[in-house]
Amino acid sequence: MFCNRKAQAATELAILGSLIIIAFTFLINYSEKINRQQSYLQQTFRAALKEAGGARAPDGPRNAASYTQVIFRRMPNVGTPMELGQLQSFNNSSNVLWEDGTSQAENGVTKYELNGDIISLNPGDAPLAGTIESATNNFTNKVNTTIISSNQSAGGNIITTKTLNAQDILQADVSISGRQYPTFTYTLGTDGKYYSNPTSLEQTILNRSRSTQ
Amino acid sequence: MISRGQATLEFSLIFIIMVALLFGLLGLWKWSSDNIIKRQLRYNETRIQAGSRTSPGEPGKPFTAEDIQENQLYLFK
Repeated sequence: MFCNRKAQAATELAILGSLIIIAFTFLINYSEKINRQQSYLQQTFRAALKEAGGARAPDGPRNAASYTQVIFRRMPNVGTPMELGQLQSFNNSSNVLWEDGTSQAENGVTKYELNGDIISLNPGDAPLAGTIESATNNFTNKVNTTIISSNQSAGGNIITTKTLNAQDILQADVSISGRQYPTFTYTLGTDGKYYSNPTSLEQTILNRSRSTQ
Repeated sequence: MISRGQATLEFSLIFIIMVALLFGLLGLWKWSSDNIIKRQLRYNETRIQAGSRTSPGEPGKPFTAEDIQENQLYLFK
């Protein structure tokens, strides 16, 4: 096919290398995704159990609890590490009815957690039986990415440095049971997690740098 | 003859690299699935504690069933 054997070897290497990188990309992303899904599922059920069991007031009445968790994360970008990874949302909901027949709470507990912010729904917000409820939630990402490539040659050595500075602001307009909540704002940290109250620069800007010599 | 020697050398090198990459992929997959099992085991082990009335950190109250009263016996008839 190729007249030049070097060209064929280079092409084969390029194809093989790409396939290997694709395999690693798929595996790392899938692995992180299923691990996080399991972890969040467990967390949601435990949170619902805690609310239903009246753990805050050990002698208080037990009741029914509904706990919903929505978490956004940036997944690792294996193929092109100097670009932001895919935005992934994890949603879980658990319902627990804990009844011991001796005590009864007046109202159940309904909580909605968004990236660590917990919204407690008032009992009066619950829809009446038989009614159909629709809610619209808007999630907007504003991404500002800067990639800096630099080459330094000194003493016969060439140092190539690539730096990624990414700022990702997630704004969430949440409406639950007809009540519109104030806009939630989150910033992407270096670990791919969204923070509502960032306390350091690492929780505000995703900064990544690699250099080869 | 030289060409054949070069091909063998190249195959040996690429074979070692491919095996290393394959083991890396398998190792990554094993680590990932092991994590799921370990997390589930820890989750199961702490289930009773999470379902107890006392919160973690407080001394647990042993559960004892109360004696059946005379007026409750009809439940079992």
